[in-house]
Amino acid sequence: MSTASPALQQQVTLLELVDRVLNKGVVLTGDITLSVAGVDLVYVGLRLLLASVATLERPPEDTS
Amino acid sequence: MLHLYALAEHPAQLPAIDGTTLHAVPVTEALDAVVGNVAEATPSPTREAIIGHAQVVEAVAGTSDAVLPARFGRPLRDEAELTSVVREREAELHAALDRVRGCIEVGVRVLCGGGRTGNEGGTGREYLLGRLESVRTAEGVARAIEDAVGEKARERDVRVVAKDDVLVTAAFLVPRSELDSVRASVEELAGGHPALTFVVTGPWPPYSFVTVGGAGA
Repeated sequence: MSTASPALQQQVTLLELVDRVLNKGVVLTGDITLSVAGVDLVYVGLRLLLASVATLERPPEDTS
Repeated sequence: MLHLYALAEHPAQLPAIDGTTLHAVPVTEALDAVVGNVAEATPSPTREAIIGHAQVVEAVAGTSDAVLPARFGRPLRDEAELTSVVREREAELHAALDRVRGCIEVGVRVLCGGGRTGNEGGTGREYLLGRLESVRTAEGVARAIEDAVGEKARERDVRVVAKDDVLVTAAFLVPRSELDSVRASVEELAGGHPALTFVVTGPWPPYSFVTVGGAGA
């Protein structure tokens, strides 16, 4: 059964939350003048966390 | 200046949230805008700001049956600008409100083992074969998720990603009463794919199904 551990669940939830708040939803002001660097930092941080949690969780891949 | 959190069916009930003062501005006959005062013209999307936005939207969704979550964006000058931009898209927004009434959103993200899609070393040919395999797997999983949830969802947005560790992301617009049933369907499907990890998130306010005015979802 491949259900996620609480740690992975939490990281994915955070990633999904950021994705929704920044990329989905109603846009009324047309141009969103957000700091791109700020957004990228948030994303990079989350991706790294996600990758590390996911790697920790799974048995190593067969590398043959 | 006004930060827009959501548009909710009139009359909106404002939730009480520590440290955030909310106002409901009636913008059309059917819609109230839930806003807060902000000083900055250019908001910084810090983690705290993003989570704060999401918490308010979730609280508003908890007190109203029909809510259109707003994307985190540039603040509006005043109530006059707010009313004007809403009225420009009034028909679209009213239609979206009807589509999401009584529904929540469920997210599904399917992850595979690290390295599967991002081979380091190996030849270019091996890399391409690996990519192809990963895209094929992802396409199969995407179809299986759509079939598993089926008619329980009112709308769906299923995407084949096949990049890094992520195979598929999906969002489903689901009547509240179907939430448990949708979760159970995805978990049952996950049981048949022991090499993959299915992460179900939500219930979310229906962010993915109210894309009005944005360039794509």
